[in-house]
Amino acid sequence: MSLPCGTYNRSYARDMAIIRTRAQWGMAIAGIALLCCFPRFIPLAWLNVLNFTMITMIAVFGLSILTGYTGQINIGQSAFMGVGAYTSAVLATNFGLPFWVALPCAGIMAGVTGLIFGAPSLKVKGLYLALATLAAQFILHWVFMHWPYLGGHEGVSAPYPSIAGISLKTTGSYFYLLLGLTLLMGIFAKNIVRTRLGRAFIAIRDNDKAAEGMGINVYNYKLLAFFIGCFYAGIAGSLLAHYTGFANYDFYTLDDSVWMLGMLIVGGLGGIMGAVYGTLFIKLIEQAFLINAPRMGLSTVQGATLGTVLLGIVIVIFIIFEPRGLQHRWELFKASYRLWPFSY
Amino acid sequence: MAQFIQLIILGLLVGSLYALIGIGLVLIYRSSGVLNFAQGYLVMIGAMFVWSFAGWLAMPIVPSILLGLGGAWLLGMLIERLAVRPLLGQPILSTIVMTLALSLVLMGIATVSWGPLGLSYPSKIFPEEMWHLGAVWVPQLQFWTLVVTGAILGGLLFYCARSKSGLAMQAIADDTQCSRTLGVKATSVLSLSWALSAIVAAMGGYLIGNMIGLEVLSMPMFGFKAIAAMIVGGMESLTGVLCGGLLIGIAEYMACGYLDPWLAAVGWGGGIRDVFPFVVLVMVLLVKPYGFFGWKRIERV
Repeated sequence: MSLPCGTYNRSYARDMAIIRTRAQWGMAIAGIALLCCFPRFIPLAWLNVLNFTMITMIAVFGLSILTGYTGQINIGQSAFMGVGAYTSAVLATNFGLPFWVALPCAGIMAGVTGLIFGAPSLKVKGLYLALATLAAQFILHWVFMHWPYLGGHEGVSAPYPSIAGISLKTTGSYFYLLLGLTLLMGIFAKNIVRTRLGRAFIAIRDNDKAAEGMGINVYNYKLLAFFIGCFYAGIAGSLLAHYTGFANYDFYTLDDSVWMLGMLIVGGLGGIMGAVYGTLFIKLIEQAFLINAPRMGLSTVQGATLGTVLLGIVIVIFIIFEPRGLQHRWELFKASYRLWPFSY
Repeated sequence: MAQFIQLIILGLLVGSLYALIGIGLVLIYRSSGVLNFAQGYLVMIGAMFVWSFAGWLAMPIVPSILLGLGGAWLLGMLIERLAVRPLLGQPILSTIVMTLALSLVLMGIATVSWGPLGLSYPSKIFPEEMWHLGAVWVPQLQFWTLVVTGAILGGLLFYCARSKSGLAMQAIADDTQCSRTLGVKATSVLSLSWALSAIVAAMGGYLIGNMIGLEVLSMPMFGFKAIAAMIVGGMESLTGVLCGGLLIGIAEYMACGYLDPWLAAVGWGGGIRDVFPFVVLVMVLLVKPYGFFGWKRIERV
């Protein structure tokens, strides 16, 4: 029931296409046009929130490929974001490289770090691998704090990026950069999971012994999944560093990694769109608590803590009652409105 | 040489605490297959329970410890009933994210209730002077902590090996299906193991708070280091976690004694004991992933 009435899969290419009907094309283009108008009529505070949401979304895309599709649990995604952030900031500030060079370098550096900590996946899986990434979280965080080259408490400052002479200093202009990159990374992720690579990932997730029997080189693909997942984290980290103006270890704690896993669960594991829904859901509710805390008679810290407790409970409730996440709910809703008013 | 012995002694003292917290982790893991990432937060909450009775209500320390342990028992049962039992048989990712989300909730509740600042118990039951044995000094407080920890560990091992409910726990860990057929009630064993684990965590929390003071933000780290100890020893083994805890404690102090001066010299500023257990964890995962006493499971397609 995932297709509107009268749409048939006449060829494999048609079956695999992301956008199927003319109406969907229209909605996609209208949606992107609407998003492009956002800086005109959204209050600055919420635009800022949207920017942070999109940065997190890119990291959650990576987590979705690594954890959702390949089944390799990563509890250290925000530490890999930190690797990207520090790499990008150091390259831009200390070496004077332009943003467009620093951004992919940050991704690759984070990916390589991911390979190092993903190496235990050659021997272990599941819980044990999750512990290796937990160790990565603590070890990398410690390195950020103690390596004198990375500036200690102050961190490393990162200049605002500029494209063709236009400096992206304002929240609005950075919004366009993030919108473009999020769309690009989202489509890239979607394309990865519907090619040979993605099918190999899914096979490894479902049963790695059987996947090996079918001729998939499990170790190479697992490491590749680690590289891709952490590459996304590195890109997100670099964007965050250049947006806030500095790379600082306070943004890359265990809690942030846990939030990303929570977003993945709330959104739904088996799909790239799940990452979008989950990130929007968690980030917007969290920010609603922060922004409305004074109105409820609480301090900002109290509001944030209350939001944390509530969202933690929401994640647990999702795991117990709707493990397939918001994405599944949305599919059910689509199926029901397509059939309405008939029962089947 | 004196420094070496000194570091081993200090390592044993702190390692016994990791072993104590790790025992709680093993109990939970064996009965429910859940690795509890929120154990460090249970340690912190348990210590805070004890502090609430001793500090807020100004009760003597022994009754407040008992009441705090009672609170931890209830909390453990509550978590088991509300969050763990519905997840039995779910994929491993669900249980991991559940305990991680639980840790966020516990952290938030603790920050609201007790504040982020450091606290300390109004009265201490152990003396605080040092013992000097030649060039080696032993902090008396930590020595008595070790004695109490050892007594609890011994009691727990005896309980698991001899009592009826302890044996039921072992049976469920060995083969859930078979022991259910033989009349062991799996749900009550699950509940009991979470409650016991929360109590052990709270006791560990009290001992830690007695030693270094209570702090909401830093205490959960003990839980994560206990996880490292558990992996080094092997996830299913009580003896394993005992050895793992002591090993992690000694490794931590060895790193502190021998690597820190060098790190400070190159400008990294020391403090490697915060992460050294995790370095050991990664090395163990690479070399001997199922720990020294763990069960290696054979898989078939």
